[in-house]
Amino acid sequence: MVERLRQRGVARLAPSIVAGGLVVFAVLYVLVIAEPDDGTGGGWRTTTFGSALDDPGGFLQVLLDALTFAGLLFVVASGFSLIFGLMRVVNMAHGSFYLLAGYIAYEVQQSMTGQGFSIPGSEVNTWEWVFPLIVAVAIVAVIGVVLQQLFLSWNQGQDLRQALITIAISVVIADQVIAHFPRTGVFEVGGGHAVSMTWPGWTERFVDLHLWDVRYSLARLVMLGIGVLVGVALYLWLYRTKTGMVIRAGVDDRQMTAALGISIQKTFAIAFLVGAGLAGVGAAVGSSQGNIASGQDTQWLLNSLVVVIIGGMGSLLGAAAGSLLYALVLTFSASYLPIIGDECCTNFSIVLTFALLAIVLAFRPQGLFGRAG
Amino acid sequence: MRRLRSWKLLLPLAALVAVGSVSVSGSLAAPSQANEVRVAIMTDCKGAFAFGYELDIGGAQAAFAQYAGGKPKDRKKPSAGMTGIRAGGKDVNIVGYGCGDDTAPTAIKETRRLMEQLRADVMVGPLSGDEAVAVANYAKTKPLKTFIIGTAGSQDPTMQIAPRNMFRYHGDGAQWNAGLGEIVYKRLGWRRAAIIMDDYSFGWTSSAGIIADFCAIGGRIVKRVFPPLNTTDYAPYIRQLPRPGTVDGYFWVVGGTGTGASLKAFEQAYGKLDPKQHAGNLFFAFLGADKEVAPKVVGAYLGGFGTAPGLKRSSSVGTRICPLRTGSSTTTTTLPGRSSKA
Amino acid sequence: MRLWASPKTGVERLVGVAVLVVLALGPALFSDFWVSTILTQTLFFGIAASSLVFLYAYGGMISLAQTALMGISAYLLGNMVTQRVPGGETKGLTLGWDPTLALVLAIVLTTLIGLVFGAVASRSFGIYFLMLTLTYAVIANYFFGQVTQFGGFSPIAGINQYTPPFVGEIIGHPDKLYYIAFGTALAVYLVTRYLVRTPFGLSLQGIRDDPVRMSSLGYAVPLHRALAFAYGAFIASLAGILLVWWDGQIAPGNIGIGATIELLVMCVIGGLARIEGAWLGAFTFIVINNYVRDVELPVIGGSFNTIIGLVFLAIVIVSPDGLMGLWDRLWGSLGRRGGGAGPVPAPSPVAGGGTSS
Repeated sequence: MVERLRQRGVARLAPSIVAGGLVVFAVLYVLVIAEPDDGTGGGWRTTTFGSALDDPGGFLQVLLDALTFAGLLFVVASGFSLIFGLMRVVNMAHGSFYLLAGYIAYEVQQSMTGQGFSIPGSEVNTWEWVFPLIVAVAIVAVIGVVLQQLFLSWNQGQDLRQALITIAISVVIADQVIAHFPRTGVFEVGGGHAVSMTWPGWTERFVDLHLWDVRYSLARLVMLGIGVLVGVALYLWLYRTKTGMVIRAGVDDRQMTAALGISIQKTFAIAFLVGAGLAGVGAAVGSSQGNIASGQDTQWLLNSLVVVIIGGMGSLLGAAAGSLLYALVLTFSASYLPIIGDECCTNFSIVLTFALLAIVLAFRPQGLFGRAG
Repeated sequence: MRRLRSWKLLLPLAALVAVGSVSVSGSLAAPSQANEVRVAIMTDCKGAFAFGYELDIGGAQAAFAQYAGGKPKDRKKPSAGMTGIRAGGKDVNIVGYGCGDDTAPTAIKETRRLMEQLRADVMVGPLSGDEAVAVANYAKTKPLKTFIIGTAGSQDPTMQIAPRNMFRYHGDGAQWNAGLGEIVYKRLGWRRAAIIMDDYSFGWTSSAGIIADFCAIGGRIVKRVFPPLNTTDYAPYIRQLPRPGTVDGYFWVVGGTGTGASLKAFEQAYGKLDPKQHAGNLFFAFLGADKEVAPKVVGAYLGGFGTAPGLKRSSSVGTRICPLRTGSSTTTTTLPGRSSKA
Repeated sequence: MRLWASPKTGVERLVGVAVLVVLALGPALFSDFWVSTILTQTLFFGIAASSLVFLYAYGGMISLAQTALMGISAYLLGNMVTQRVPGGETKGLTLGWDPTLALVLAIVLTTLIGLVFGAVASRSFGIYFLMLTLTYAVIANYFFGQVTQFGGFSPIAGINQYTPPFVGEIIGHPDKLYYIAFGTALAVYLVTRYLVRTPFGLSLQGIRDDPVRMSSLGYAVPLHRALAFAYGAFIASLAGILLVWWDGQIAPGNIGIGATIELLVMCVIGGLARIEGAWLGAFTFIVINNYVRDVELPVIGGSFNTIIGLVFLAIVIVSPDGLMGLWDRLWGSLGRRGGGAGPVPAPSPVAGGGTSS
């Protein structure tokens, strides 16, 4: 270590020391430094819960909030990452796919339950949640492949042009979705206002963790479970099947793979199918968790971008790590940034997101698990 | 030196372009008649409030049909326009409809189009708080035009910026909530409450009304939480609220796309919503659009908003609408825009 | 040296001078609305677009952060000049500083921020660079939208009341602002044209074409790219100042992803390969945007966004170099008399094609 210091010089290590110090400080702040809010205005150490030692239950709940949100982030971002990793296409329409799928799933669930006005969760069974998801995923996946065949199959290698094409597609899809969805509701057709899917009734309960009296929402745990499930399925597909092997080979060296006589075009189509489909899965989960509304296309495009920039393009592990880090920063900064009066500072969480990006990029421009080039 | 030669070639060309552009600009500026009033109506056709586009325009034009002989071109589509309006001996022409998206820049873009390109004399609109702030600032630079706020509830346009040529004919967002604090204090026995609000001008104004009312009668707001507008995951902000049992109730001022999402997050943190523990501003009424959450807050009190589309079926939603005590809110009219955070 | 390298250059010069003359006579020729809205907007959005085109055409960097940088300078100015007085602005820091100082600071700070952004991104190339700058853009948008101390979701307004003495009152003087925008645009165009012929500009173009070779020749590749990005930020900051003088206010919506994409669309419509394309694209976009707002698409429905999206799609597919590229190709097909024409490859267009001096 000393040898390394001497070799590289302290000056060159300064950024590492600063970044490392910041990370250590953030962790210490959450674990021991913070103090609970006593309602007297607060200072730089005041947070809602105090430190993890003050309120371990609160800490655990925030941690679970972060983990479960990471599950949703992973589902959406892994699709984006897959398409990029294989095809070098920044699919800017990923958010628009999300938006479209969310509304489709909502409409299908509405017509299945036939409630007209409102659906209590207790009246939704598992099938009435899963089937809308399948329909939405299928439709969006097919739309994705058709668009890929029409617009992206003949200009391989023109990165920028392809990105521009997907931007144009995203503008058109988002505008069309707003014009035509939601179709059922108290207002006229269209408008893109917020609607939401309903989780199946059995998720509407709490799980007792038998730890610091924490009871946690089953629905949110299901969200994490879906994230893990998607991750495992993608792993098995990519690492245990022939198609997956071809895709990984394509990610590593597209030309060599094609030279081996493998139809890379077919592989691209499959990757786009799966990638767009994952946006659909994420949309069904996301619209059950929160809601679906115009404007979320850009939010989810940003979320996907941040995740893959942190984690590295085209890496499954990277998408998981990126989701986890991003969710941790978002959730903990909203809950553990100090409270100074009413004005400050929980609204600074976006600054920490940027800090996370800057730190990761300063040391690994290609992301945590990305490969150079 | 040789460069000069190009000027010889240039002159005819420039003249040609100039003539062309004069004719273009001439055709763009249609002659205006002295004996007409040009009216424009501006609301949202995109964004979180786009669902009200035709409804808003219909509302703005209703009086023309009732009192000024206006004939709608298409009864089912108010934005198709209206003919034959006469008022005070002048023809009233509706020259255009603005399409906002709930953001200030678009509101300005559309206002410029209506006032400068279509040369309207009067504009009715816009729909939401920040749009009205933007238009109010624009109105200052156009003292000869008249602006009538549509539904926007932020206080700034008529209290802070307050251009002389801008008018409001309904209460502002703080006034809409008058009575809400009092009713939960007296009927539900709330003494200590927490409030969660969108972190922007309408959220602050609306909360100011609730807080002023509730505190004036003796209640205490023990915690204020400010999620940013359009938060993706509300869970961390809900965690900042005091746990049920430590407060008597919660005021909700989360709108746009967040109403349902934030209430769901609350359920996932603390269990079923008890209508007696929750009160909200007008956005609770828009839960009609959010089919999952609406039945869970049946019976909750909410602030008023004239006749919002979601309110007309109040019996089936089951929400009770507070009386709108216009004119009585002496406390709220002295509140600056951000007093809710003071 | 001959007068013109080719007939094409000659025609371009003629058109260019004609456009300048028409613009200089602007207020006499056009209606008030055209001058104050269409043309003024064209000029300053063109400036912003030219920063993007400069970075792409000469640096090979497609930056989606230019709208954000524009917004950053506007926000800086707004935070520094507005005053917390009765009836005044309540958003932002309302520092109430001297307008001249604030103007200079806004431009300098934005350029410095651009330098930092550029330094962080200087080792990313191609599509990675695009994604990273897009992330900057979205984060800047969220920052100003969420951190209420610096603005928040509501606009900071009334900024154009506070102008430096050498500018004077601009509210109610659309012609003055028009000429300021015209002068700035002209200056930006000339300085950029000059810059790309300096040693710095030439090595930048070398880096665009082959960063590895330039690096092994001893050029500091990341430094050149960061400096170029800072210059782009400087241009964008000028556009931001003009925007806020024109509009009076700045809000997160001005720098949202929609606005970011709009600026890119302008550049692509005009043509990413040539600086002139920036203003051509801005003009085309603003005219379309203004006059199709009332148009409803038959059958598929949707708003003008669908129209713009489809136009954009068509341009990217048919002519990735936009209208200027179309123009270049037109000359190329006319018997290839005009040197430097012909189909221009999309990834790295000929720098300053069709111009010589």
